[in-house]
Amino acid sequence: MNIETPISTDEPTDVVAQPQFLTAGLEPLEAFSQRVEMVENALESLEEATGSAARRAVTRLRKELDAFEPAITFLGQVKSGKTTLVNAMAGWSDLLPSDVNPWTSVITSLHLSPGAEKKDISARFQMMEEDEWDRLVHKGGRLGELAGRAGSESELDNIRQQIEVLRDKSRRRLGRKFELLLGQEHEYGYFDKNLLERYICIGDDFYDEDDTSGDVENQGRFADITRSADLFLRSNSKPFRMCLRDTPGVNDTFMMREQVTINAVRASKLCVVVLSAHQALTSVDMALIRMISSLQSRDVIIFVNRIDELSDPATQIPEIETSIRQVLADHKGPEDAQIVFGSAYWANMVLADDIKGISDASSDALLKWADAKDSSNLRQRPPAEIIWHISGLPDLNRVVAERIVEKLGDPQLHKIASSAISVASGQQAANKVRVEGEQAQITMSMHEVRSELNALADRHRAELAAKTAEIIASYQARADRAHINFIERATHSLITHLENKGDSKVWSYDPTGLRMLLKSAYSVFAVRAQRSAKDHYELAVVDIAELYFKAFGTAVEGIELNVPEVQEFPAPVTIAQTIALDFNDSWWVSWWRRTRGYQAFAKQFHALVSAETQDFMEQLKTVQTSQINEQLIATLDAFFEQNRDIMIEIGSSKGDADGLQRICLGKEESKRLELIEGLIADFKHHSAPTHWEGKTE
Amino acid sequence: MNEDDMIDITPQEEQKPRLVLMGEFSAGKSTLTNIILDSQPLPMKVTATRLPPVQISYGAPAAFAIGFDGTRTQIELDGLESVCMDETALIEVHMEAEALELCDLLDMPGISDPNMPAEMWENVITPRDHVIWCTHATQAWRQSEAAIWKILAPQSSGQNLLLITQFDKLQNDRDKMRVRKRVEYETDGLFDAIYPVSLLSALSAGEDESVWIESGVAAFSEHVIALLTGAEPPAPASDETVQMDAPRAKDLRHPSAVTVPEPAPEPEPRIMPRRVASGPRPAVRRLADPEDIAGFGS
Repeated sequence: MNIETPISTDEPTDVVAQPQFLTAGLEPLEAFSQRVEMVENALESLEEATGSAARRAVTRLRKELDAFEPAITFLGQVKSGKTTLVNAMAGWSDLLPSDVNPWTSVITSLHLSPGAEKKDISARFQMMEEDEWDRLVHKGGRLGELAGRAGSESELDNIRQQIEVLRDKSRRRLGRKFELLLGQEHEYGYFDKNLLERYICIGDDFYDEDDTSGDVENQGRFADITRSADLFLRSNSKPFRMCLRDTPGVNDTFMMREQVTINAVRASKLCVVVLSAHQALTSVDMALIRMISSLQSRDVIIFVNRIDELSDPATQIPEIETSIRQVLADHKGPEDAQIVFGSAYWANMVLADDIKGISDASSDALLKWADAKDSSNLRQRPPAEIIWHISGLPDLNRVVAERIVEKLGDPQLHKIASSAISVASGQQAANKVRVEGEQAQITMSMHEVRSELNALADRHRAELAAKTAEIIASYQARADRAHINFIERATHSLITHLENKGDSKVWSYDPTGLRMLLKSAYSVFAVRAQRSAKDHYELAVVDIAELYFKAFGTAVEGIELNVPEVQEFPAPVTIAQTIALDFNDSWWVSWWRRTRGYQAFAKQFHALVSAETQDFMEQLKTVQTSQINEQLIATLDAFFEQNRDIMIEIGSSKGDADGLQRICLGKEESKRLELIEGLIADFKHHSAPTHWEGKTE
Repeated sequence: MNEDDMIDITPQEEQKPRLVLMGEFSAGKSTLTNIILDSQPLPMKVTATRLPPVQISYGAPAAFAIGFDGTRTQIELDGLESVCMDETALIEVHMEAEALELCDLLDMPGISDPNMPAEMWENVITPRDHVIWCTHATQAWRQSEAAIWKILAPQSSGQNLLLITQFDKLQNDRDKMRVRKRVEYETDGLFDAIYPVSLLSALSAGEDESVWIESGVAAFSEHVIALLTGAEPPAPASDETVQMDAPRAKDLRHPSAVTVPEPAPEPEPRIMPRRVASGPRPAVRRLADPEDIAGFGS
């Protein structure tokens, strides 16, 4: 129930016609888009050429492909220029409101789809749930918990106060509506600057509360209680649909926003970390990068923004890059991470058609960087295009497009094409049964086939579950050992420190070792679980193939069944979760100051680290593994489901009175078979499948 | 390392007040040091300067690396960066700069530098210190700064000033006003005064009085001089100390178009350099006509 049902009939916001050069760098995505279209067309043909039961399977595949939308999340410190960059990437300079002060308070997803239509623009805003508020107030988020446990009461109070003030303010502003708004979803058939500011911008908190001048604007502002925003729009510079996700900055003095962003990292496969050129890679950035990459370096792209503020980009940029690489290497970050330099400001000035408005100092930097960058191939191009290239956006587009295709797009396409091959091969068999009619030696009734298939499914599910459970148990034991050893070593080191140096010098202990051990335990687990799942899938396929032959005889000779792909496991991101030992600045020091006496140190430290690590140990050992287990079983179930559909299709076509008639229409049937054969070839082109040839005897 | 290690390495007849420059790395601390000293003893780089704390005091030109074990090694004045970070607790520089007749300077490494150990900032502040905290205008006052200052502020008994550096990177008056307002709001009660400054423009001001004043460094220097000489510091009323209507960056290059405020009364000349005598400012190329850009790189 919405209090406001603000579906507007207003004219949608104009979409500016965009110049051709904005697609520079997106060529890999263009090629991918063409592959998707081919698979889509083939699926459509297959859908038409199949019987009703198998058609359901094909429809599922089409829906899955339709729903595929690669997402890129932009993260970084407060005021590093994430929103400005997202606008530039979207090709619309003033799409999301940005400001000189921290402004974005909500995770905002821009869903871009190809096309220049001004229609199809819409917005959806999700409000906080009541219990999310309660949790934030009572627990103060993750940092609050950390602060409380380390004895730094003031920080916990600080966060509590911030949240209480925020909540009070919202309650005052929204009055009775406040409680009702929580948990709601608001949808609009348009969006504009005012609407977005109401929902996703922080506003000027720092003005006097009594200052009435801003009150009119502020009325009805929901930004403080909005949890997420989804905006849907067209962009003719995008060859394929994609989602750009803007986040509130980390290292904000309003620490709740940092929490909101950290939570978004878990759901993001592809992240762009935005740095500011004037201060490359601080310890906060480093923590963020480590958290995201969890050591899968290919998924982190670093964009060094604001090169427009450098006085001498040509010499400073190489210097900055060297420094970033050095820090990444020294601190066990992803050393081969892609680093792109640029200026979202320049890009937006091009998009706004205002290159004359670029400030003097910035023009100076631009010309110097243009001289340094080899852009001789652009000399004859219009100024706007040249500046667009110098802004670094085409470089970033290319890196992003490559990642999308390689990490998300192609695997998805392979998976769908492989499934389609199974369905299509089944169709050949179904058609064959039909064509060869009575000659097929059917020894089982359809009922028997189904119950046998169900029995197979149950048995394989149970076997896979048992084996996975065993692997999980051994992984958990290994993780526990690593954990216990770490705490012991750390406590030992603490005691040694106290004995040798006393308690006046702050001691710290790098938790990297624990992370490495856990990560290696996790990779061993992942490899074993994946291998075991693959083995079980293969066994299941062999059994199913036998069943096919028992049920349909020689008619199914040559049918191809794919062994289902074992999906990639999620990275163990929780390993990177910040724990007390990572904070070697403020409150760790204050914990140290407040804790007196050797005994107290060692004892409290043991308790602190155990408590600190408990959450991520729990995540790693139980939550994540049970998700993986479910995922492995789901893939197996889906495979059985798919074959059940195919078998019903084959079964229902035999003895069909019409079937006999169709035998007379042999020409049409052979055409159909030819079509399906062609489709199989198409799908094979798009998949890297493991084939299994149907057994003959 | 405790206070004694940090402070009493060189015996001094009488302890002068000390200005301690702190802030995130690349926030302009070294640039500020060079402005105050009217020369350039410290490297100014776009990336983190890899130097231990540098203490600068009056004396015949010389530099020493002080090890964690207390050893004192003379080093080249222009080779400060060659010291080994793992072994050096402090670099001591002696110079005959006028400002140093009034005070010592301590240029601290930047916070949030992944390469600097956290304990660097503990026990730094002593009773004779005034902290000058530098925060970069476009990303002013982040949690990393707020958190560490919350711990350090109670240790300080001096007057502490907040400089919002690179203020000219903000594009217009409204932006400048809003950033200043937010920083004032968030640091309420934490500093004695806040000064928005453009250090690079002050550094290149040369003899140009108006550039020096517009950079905001003039007002800041005045405050510091008053502070060090025991005079009444200028009223820290925000509208007075902060140039709300500072001329836009663009106008800096057209001084004649700007209304120049009355120059502040000259302080005693030997007390504090008014500006750095440096060469002519680098020529700035501008994108007056977009066609200018076509044909570069040839």
